[in-house]
Amino acid sequence: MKFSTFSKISAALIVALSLTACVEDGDDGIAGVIGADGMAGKNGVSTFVTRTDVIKTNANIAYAAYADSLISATTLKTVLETFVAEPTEVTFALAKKAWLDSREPYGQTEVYRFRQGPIDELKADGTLGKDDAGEGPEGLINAWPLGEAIIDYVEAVDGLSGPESPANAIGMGGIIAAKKDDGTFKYATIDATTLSNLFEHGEDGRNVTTGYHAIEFLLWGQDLNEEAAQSDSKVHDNTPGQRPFSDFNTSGSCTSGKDVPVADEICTRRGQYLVTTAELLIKELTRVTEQWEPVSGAHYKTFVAGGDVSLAKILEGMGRLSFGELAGERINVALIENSQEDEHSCFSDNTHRDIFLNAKGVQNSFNAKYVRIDGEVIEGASIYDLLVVEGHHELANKLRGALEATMSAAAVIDTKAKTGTPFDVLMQEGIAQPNIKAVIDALVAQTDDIEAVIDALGVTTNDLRDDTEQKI
Amino acid sequence: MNKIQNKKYLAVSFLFISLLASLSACDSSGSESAGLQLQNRPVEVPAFDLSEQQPAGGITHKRLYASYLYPGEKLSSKQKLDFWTGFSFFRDPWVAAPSATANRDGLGPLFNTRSCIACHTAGSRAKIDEEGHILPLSLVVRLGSKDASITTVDPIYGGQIQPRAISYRLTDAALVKKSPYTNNVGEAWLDKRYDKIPGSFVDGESYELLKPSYQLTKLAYGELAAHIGLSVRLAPNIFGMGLLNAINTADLLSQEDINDSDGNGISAKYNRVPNVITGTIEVGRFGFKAKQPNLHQQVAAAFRDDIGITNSSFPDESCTNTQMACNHAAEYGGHSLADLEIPDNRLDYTVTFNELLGVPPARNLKSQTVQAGRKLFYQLQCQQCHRPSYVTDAEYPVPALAKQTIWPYTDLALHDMGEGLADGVYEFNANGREWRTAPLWGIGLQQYTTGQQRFLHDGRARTISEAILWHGGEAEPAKQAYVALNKQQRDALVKFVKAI
Repeated sequence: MKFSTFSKISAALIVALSLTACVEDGDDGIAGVIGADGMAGKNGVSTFVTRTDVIKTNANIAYAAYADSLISATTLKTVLETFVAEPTEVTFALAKKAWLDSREPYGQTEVYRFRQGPIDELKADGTLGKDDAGEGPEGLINAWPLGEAIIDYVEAVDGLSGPESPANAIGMGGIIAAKKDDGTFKYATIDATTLSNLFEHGEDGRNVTTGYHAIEFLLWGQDLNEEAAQSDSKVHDNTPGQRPFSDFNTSGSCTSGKDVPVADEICTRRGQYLVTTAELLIKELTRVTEQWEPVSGAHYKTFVAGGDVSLAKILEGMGRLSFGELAGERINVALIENSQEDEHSCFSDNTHRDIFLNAKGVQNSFNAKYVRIDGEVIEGASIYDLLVVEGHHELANKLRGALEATMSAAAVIDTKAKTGTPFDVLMQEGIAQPNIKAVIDALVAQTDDIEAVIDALGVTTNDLRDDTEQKI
Repeated sequence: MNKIQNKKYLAVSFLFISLLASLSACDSSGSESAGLQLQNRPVEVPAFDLSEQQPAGGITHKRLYASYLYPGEKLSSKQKLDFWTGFSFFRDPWVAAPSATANRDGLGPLFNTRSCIACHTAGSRAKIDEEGHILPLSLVVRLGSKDASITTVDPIYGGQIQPRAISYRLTDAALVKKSPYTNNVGEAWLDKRYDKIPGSFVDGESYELLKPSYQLTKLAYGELAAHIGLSVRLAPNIFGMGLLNAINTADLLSQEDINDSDGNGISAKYNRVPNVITGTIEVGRFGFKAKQPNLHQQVAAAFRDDIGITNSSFPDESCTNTQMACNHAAEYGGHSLADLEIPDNRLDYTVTFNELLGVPPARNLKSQTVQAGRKLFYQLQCQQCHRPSYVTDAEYPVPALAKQTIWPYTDLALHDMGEGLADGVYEFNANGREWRTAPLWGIGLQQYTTGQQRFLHDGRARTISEAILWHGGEAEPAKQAYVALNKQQRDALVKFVKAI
């Protein structure tokens, strides 16, 4: 992706020549921004970039972020296997750490949603399009909230109990422990087939049996501490779920909620469930990552050849994630509901990272910069560069600033959570809601600028122009 | 009644004959032999108006999206945030109560589906249930009276078949004795079959329509009452509803012409339906037979009837008195009977989401073909029922929706659509042959947004052309005129409908 010095100069020259008729411009930056409006160009920020360069970099970052997600999921599986083989406080802590680590790259991939990409539209046959469920692999990877009762024992919150979801559909104790009338397990084998078949069991979207949040539930358990929605005090405490590592103990002291001890086989099955979910996560992430494989990946190929349609998709995904998904559904709903159920990573209290990383993904797309989990920096032609090259200096700077403002607001939430005030405490009225509102406001502002960029670059989803020529 | 029908028949025949006459009188324009001669049709075609490109005024989508589920462009940031907040209630599935997720429970006891979006994919129509013996999902089976003199719905099944249920079994021996229905189970399955109906255009090109037949099977609570008929519907498009809600009732009523006093063969009639909150009788606007008077009531009814979520407008579960297990499942289902399953604030967010849901901008409207199709649309008198344009009520409480010039192409009135489309079922003032004119804005994008395009109340039409061919009754002359068009003209008309 690097331009030779020669082409940089000649490119700058062409641009400079074409501007000779205009008013006095400042000196051009060296291999950087051209001078404009009497201002000297900045050195070394940008080279001459084309729209296709921006699209290619965006695709390369997609690959890097999905590949990182895949790599960290693979690590997660290994760590989980170690933990299941030998459950101790230490291995348990490592398992949780591996899960948290795996969320770091994945959170930054979510900007690749809402743009008809592989994550939303990859079908079983390997092509892209709308399948019957219309979901693609996203649900299998990251579905939330989940009705955890299908998986394992749950504590009935505030004394709620009844012939509801766990009992009706699967049996008490979920897939892990439910038994038939004859005393044998309802699901004899815990394996990929069993879990996949039970995904959205009975057409119920809450029956999420796999993905990141299923693993999260198996590691942390329900976050039961002072559930504000059910208690009069309306105060959440600041700890996540408190599942004990003995839930995986297979040497005579297996625990399973209030039943202590229970037969070891329950813990064995729980361990099998945990590792199997990691396997399935790897499988789905592999499918998506392969689509984005530079040069050979099916989606990579069509995307980099897509011209303005692809550029529109980049911006579309940035705007939709910023506003509808992040500001609206992931933050505002939790806020107006004061509800942990509407909190993204509710078991682990990792929601502050989800928010931060989603926002980071949007910034990555704009700056065309992504730091891989091994520290390597992927960088290339950015939308910022493109805006500057095409003469939209002010807008480039405005959106850069807006994204920075969002990141700094998200950093406040992140810091509070890391210092003892997690999102579910923060979101309560009267405590520190302004911090969350600041993130929402910043996201709203950046979305306006993203919209302005779409207008300025004149990109729309042009593939629709031919729509009326299709089948009548 | 008979007189009116005779009169209508005469008017229809007259139009048809004059159409044929005009066809034979004019010479061919050269391109294709058969077809309607545009220049000789003495119909006023209104000049193209630039506002047609933004069919929902300020609530038009800023650009084309891959889904209808976006707010209108000219809304404030606050409104858009409310929109996306409401969207989450539209999207997220409900679970049975009691559960660990108390904010989202209360599903059933009987229900069709668990979330709004399940049947309104991308804000449009979900994938239609296949032919065969099915547990229907996107198709809803309404139950209504076939007899004008009996207005009650089915005494056991109520006004709608809910094919799904949360599990609940009566265990109290005393109660079991009282009711034969001890198991809360889904009410029925649906047997759906298509017959192929061949036909051909005047120019010789043939077509084939799918005529559905429906039968309920596995009826869990015995037979339907004798006066009850089925009305099967595919979940409709939901975008732009806020603007239809914002049309001044007086503007609608000024088009009413129940007895066809202007003799044009079209008798716009508005349904008169109860407002469940005020108790007054109002003009019906929403639903395939305009059963609901406003958007709020439409959304609230869908929550209760389709998902089993009680609310302030519809506080009672959809169990009838004889469905004991259903009633007990409701009673023991976690929410005390005094507690509504969706409180007003969340219901209001969901209504706001619906209200602010934008409409796609028109596509290719200025192209020559589409303009030719536009002309045909008026020449064939489609606009008599598919009324193109309104200015919304200046006093509408949401200012962004007030005073907007909109192009929905509907009069929201009931029309006799003929025997082919008739379901034989009454809904308030709507009889078994009457349907509310469907809005046409945005429907041309269904294939793109959902991967499927299906039209008419039960989705039987696979193309817009088929949908036109199903028109009968008051629309028979317009349909006949369409059949008489040559291929180029037919394509142009359809392209116009796909563009608006």
